[in-house]
Amino acid sequence: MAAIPNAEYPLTAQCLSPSVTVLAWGSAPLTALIEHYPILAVRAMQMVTGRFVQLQNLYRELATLRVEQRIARALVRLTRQAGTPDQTGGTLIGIPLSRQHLADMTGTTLYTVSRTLSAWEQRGIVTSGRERVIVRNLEGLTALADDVPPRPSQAEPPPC
Amino acid sequence: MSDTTRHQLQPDLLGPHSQWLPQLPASLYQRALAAAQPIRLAAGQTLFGQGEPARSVYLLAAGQVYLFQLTRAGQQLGFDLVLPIRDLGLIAAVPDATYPLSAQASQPTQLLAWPHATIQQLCAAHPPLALHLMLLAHACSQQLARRTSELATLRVEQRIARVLVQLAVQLPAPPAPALPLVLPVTRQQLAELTPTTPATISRTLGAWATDGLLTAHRTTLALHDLGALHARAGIGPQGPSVYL
Repeated sequence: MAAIPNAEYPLTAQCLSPSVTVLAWGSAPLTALIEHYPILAVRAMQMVTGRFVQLQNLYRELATLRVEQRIARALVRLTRQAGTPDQTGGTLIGIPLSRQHLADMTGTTLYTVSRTLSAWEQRGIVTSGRERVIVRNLEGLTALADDVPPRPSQAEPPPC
Repeated sequence: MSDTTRHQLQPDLLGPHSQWLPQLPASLYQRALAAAQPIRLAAGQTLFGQGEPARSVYLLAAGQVYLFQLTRAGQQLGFDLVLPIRDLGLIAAVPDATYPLSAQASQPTQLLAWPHATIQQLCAAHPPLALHLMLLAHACSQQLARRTSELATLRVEQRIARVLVQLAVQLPAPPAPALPLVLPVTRQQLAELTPTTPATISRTLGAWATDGLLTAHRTTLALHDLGALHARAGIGPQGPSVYL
């Protein structure tokens, strides 16, 4: 974002683990780099347009899927990105994941996430603790993400 | 060119820098205009389809373009109704990209088109152009992020009102007072842009018509009270420049 004159950071980036190393370039050196190496502008443009496509997928899910399906899809995605085998035989999502984070990611409330995870725990699909989710039945979770019939997109978004 | 004051009211556009073409140095500007391919579309004609190779960057010079995405079920989710003068298809500045949305003329429309290779040549001749294109693409992402946040958090009536506000700020600034403002949008488009059901659109527009806020016609809405629309959108009385 610093490459874009007068832009503001659109999101807040917060460290999830205790020790993180970040490389930083100021706006002016970055602009000079891009003028010397135009390929950087192409790469940066690809990143910006890539973000649009990601947001578009999120928007479409929010407009067309029930909230349980959105939560299931988010957990399946996170399992793929950050899942590690757990000593109890499940797959631990290897980043701190609070229920509030999950609610923010899926466009719903803390209450709905808690209610949904509790229901899935009873069915043996996940185990969740404080900032920790272990997927016990990935197949079941994927079925929840995919097989529940989508709402017609013209219907009201369900009460979250 | 549209009134820049009008553009500054629109938080998703960039004020006087809202298009890349006028920012070019004079000689390059002439070269870019000379290289532009004029395109005319009839109402209902497609400019580009979602998933197609992104071959050209476009400028909407006259008319109206409807941008939308398709769900897997084949239904349309509206992204924006675009009035002149606006850029479209900026993703074609990236090599081997595909258009993420479909674009369709909703009125007789005139555009200018620059193929990817021409854009690359202009960027090579004037490197700040590449950054400017990125700025414009970023503004599109910001608009989509705002709409996603609104979909997650706002009541449907507020979202309907915000679609209409987004359209109203794109109208050329009239001499004041200028009411009624004629908003060129159909009920189907409004349903897809909110998104909500046509029934909810009818119910809401009916209530607002009873309140004297607007008059609904077949393909347009005549807006009588912009301040009341802002209130229903949850926007301050000063207008959309303060609502983000």
